[in-house]
Amino acid sequence: MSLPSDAILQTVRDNLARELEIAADEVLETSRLDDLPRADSVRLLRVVSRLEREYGLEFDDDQIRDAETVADLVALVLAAQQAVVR
Amino acid sequence: MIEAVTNRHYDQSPKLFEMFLDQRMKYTSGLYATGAASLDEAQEAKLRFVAGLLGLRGGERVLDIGSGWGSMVLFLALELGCDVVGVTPSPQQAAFIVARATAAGVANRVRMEVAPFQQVALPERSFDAVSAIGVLEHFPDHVETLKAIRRLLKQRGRLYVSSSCYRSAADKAEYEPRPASEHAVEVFGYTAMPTLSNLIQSFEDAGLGISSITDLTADYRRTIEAWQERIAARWTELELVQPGFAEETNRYFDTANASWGYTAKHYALSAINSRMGELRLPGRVL
Repeated sequence: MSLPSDAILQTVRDNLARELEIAADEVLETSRLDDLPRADSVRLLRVVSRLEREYGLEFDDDQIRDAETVADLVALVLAAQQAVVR
Repeated sequence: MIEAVTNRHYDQSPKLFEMFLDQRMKYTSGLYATGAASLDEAQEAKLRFVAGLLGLRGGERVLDIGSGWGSMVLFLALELGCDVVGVTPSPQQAAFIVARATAAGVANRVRMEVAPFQQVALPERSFDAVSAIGVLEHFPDHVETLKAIRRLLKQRGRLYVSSSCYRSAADKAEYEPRPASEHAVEVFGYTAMPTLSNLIQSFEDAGLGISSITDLTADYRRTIEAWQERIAARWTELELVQPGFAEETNRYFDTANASWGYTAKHYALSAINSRMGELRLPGRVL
């Protein structure tokens, strides 16, 4: 049975792949964002922005700044989702 | 001890304040700019102005920091059907507000936290709106206060803050160390005015997007003139309730009113807890 985080991981990988014009296979959960082909701060911020809009959430500014890996982006989404749940 | 924190001017008999404030006992600036003529009308107009900037339509969950004699708390609960939490360090004021809420049949919509705001524990992301009307002057650390408020706001929740400000950094440097400012501290407990620039920077540092800034200086001067008229009219009665109160308060009002527009200003700021800001033009008056 797949976890909600699996779906989020797939979405994050797809968004990164689309932005960086690479295959989704090249984006691993453990991949460091800065090490991905053609990654730069503008492109990565565009991915964050697209994720915020796709999920209708706003991520914590400090967490965005500290995100280093694909897994960190997944955690970003999860944290924001949990913050909304009461 | 809560009593040690409560400044002595506010924590006095409601009878005193009933004698010279408007019928809602709102001890902050009214709003005459919409055409209100009387003090009561101006105070109601101001409450509607705040509610408009907070985007309230009715039924929201609102936090009011520095509730005074409850004008905002009661307006929200009674006239907008909001669920309101009010914060005051004064047990007397809290009891007064709860009594008024009970008499008005809205006790179930009002909860008073009797403590300084810094000591109140509330669930994060639980409020649609926060009002801090004329209270930031009493908090030493604006960035920390605004960050704490932001944590309490839901995503896209709104904040209203009003504050007296020095007109410029130069005015602040010159007048802050003076006796009149020290007298204010004796009367009100900790009180200090930022400049508008200081306030804006505090909002930025707290990650809150400012959506509007309104100059209420003229309104405050007119409000205080109205209070002074009423104090003059009921001086003898005031003296009977609390000797010296009328004199001390009137003297403070003289100083404040002499300074508006010259060395001091009063501003209202609205903000939204959202990185893209308001998606439509800022709130309208209800």
